[in-house]
Amino acid sequence: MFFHSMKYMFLTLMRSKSFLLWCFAFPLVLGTMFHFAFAGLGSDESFEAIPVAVVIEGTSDVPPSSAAAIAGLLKTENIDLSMYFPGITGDADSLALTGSFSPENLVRGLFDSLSEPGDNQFLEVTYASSTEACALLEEKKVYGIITADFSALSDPVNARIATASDGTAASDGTVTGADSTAFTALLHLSVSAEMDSDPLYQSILSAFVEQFNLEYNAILSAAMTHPEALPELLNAFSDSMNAGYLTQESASAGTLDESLIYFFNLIAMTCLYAAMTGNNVAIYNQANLSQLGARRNISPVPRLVSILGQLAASLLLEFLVLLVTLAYLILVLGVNFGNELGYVALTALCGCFAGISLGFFVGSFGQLNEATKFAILMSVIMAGCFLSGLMVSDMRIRVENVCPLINRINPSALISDALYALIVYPSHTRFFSNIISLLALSVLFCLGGFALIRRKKYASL
Amino acid sequence: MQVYKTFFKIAKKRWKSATIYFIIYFTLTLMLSGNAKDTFTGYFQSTQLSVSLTDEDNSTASEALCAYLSSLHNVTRTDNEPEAVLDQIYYRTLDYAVTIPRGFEERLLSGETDGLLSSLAIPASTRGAYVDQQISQYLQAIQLHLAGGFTLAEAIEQTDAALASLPETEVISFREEATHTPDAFFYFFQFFPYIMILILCTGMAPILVVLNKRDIRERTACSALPGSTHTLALAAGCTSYSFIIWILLLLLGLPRYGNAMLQPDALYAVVNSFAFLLFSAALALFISCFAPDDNIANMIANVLGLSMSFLCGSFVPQSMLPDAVLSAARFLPAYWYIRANNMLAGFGREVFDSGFYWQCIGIQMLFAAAVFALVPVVTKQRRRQA
Repeated sequence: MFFHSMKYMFLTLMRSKSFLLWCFAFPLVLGTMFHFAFAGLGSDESFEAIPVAVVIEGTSDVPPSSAAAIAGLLKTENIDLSMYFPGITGDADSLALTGSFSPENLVRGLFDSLSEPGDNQFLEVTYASSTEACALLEEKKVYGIITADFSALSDPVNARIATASDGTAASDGTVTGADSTAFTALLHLSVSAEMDSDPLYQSILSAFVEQFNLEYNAILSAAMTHPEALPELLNAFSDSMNAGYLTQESASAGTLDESLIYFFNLIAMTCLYAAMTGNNVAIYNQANLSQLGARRNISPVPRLVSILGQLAASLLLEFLVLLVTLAYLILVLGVNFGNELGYVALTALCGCFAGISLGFFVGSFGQLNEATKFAILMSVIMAGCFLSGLMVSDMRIRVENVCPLINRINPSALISDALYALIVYPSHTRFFSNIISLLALSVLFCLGGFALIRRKKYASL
Repeated sequence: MQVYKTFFKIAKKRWKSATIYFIIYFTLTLMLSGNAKDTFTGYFQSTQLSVSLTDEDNSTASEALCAYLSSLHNVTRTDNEPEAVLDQIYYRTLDYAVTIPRGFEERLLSGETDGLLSSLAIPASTRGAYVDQQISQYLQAIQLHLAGGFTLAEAIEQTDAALASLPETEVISFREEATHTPDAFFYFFQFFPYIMILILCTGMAPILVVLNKRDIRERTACSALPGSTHTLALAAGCTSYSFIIWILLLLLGLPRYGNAMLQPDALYAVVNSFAFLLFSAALALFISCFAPDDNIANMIANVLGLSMSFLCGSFVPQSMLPDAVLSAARFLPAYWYIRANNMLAGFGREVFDSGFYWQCIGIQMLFAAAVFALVPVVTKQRRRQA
């Protein structure tokens, strides 16, 4: 009798053409829409060279002694300038004498090296006057304007360096009377208030300018207070230019593509929409809700066996829908569900079971009419999908931080987390914990549903 | 009048399910709008990221680095919890995780530069590169000071003093209008397309399906009631039903957003939502022509509501959508609704332009009229096939 019920339920479902059409069309259409909508998601995460305008000002104000000061300091210690300022060739002496060691060369050398094409290209530099730079910023062609202002070199603090290089410093080599903590900013950053792109690029530019100014001032303070340590400092500077202070940990076994969360939730939603058939099974077995229910109630078939057969047929059909959906997402749209497709299918099967049993439980509950039961069911599903991240991708983790219990009993969150665990974690502990929770919930819903409709008798219809 | 009355008799019979839909979707709107603030705003300030920090060294240098990062970002200190950290990185609630291992200070003092710390972020991400850069900058400055002859305490002091003296980034505004923070109620209106489509297609379409059932339709057709009066009565029923839902949504929004919703600015948003309401009502009417049962009506509503919301920039800001998607979205009314709302709220720094606003309203009205016009065509076609 079980297989008889199952067969006829399956035939009924297959002959309901519009329902069948929408069962298949629903995830396929939504999956396609997601695919197009999220094509650009995450593209703002990967780093690309930052377009920037560079303005060089105040070079005419730099006294020759100051301009040669750094070169002089470096020459004293026989240090190769090109080592520290890429783009500048020749030794300090010849540079200073020929005049090619100008502040402008110094800045250009720095920015040219940072904008060399390649994997490590940091900036995309356009040299401009301040008016041109403003126009570029207004047209949103650059993320910011970096102004190198050399007029600062003529201030008293910097003049001390020139004095030191001229050999008029104190006999112990230190410069007295100068405030070693006074800060001189060589580079200044301007950004646009109207730049609506990711403000992170502006922040990165800001951090870069800060870094330059910090290094510049570190050299200045050391030069003023411990000139004897300058060669070591410049060596340290050279080392730190190539330093890799941070080791990147391996993030996960698979991809960290943010858009996958939406596809995981789409699968979860499709699984839970199987609740519609579970709900119908319950409705069409209650004599007070449908004529078919009345017919079935007077037939000499054990209700448990008949309903189990109908639920099995529903599960079979919904699992088929999920397999077609997964095949479409993976083969046609190229969504990456990882390499363990068997486990993905297992998740879909358990998800469908959870959906059908949820629908069956809600359908069996109370004396409400069909439309109201359906509305309650849809509300539960939509709320569950919302909390697992169908509309806002990080919702699941927000819920985890506030009330983790919701994630343990929300079937949608369990399905999407099982798929997530497959992608991210090499071990299957978390995956199976989600699957076991799903199965436990499904069994509970089924038992609850059976308990609600067993031995129900109707005085009149 | 009979048809109009019948419309509401059926509506009354389905009031429980309609109320459930209304409550759940209204609650979703409130939750979505409460969550949206982070997504739709973005002005320059040194961007504060969410950083987790595990300090296994507990030294002067590690404390200085912690203090430095805390001054820039929202730093949470964690014990070693790799799984929780990885989850948060994946869901983008955490941007960066850094671990300061034992022996960090000794290695820093000895001038070592490689692998002093370990970090976890989305690979090759801008956010990861940003914090990497800041940490490197700080450690570099300390090592430069150390190499310059300073002690560790002096080096930290000098670096911190230099950091405090750094010049502010200048922010240039090319527009005369002062920038403003969007009022919270605009977030409420941002999700209107999804909610209106869902509520009307799941609540109102089934009423129309009942009225369009063959027996009832033929009974009405053989009555003395002219066809045009029947159609007008149906249209009046739909309009009243939609209008009641719309007013209820606005009234329920009042306690949440208060006086801000009563300001003249809000009137534009209300008019915009009314234009979309007309389209949603037309869509519900159109769907009802195909006589779907509750299951199918719900699936159609979700396909349309979710697709439009994602493609047109309701759930994901328009500025984050690819150009090709936005070009295609122009053929959907929700795109024009969101454009108008973006303009009113200043999302994506869009500036209000009265002419363009009315253009958006006009386009939505045209979409509504087009779908309304399709209803009799489809109805006639289906009757011929029946």
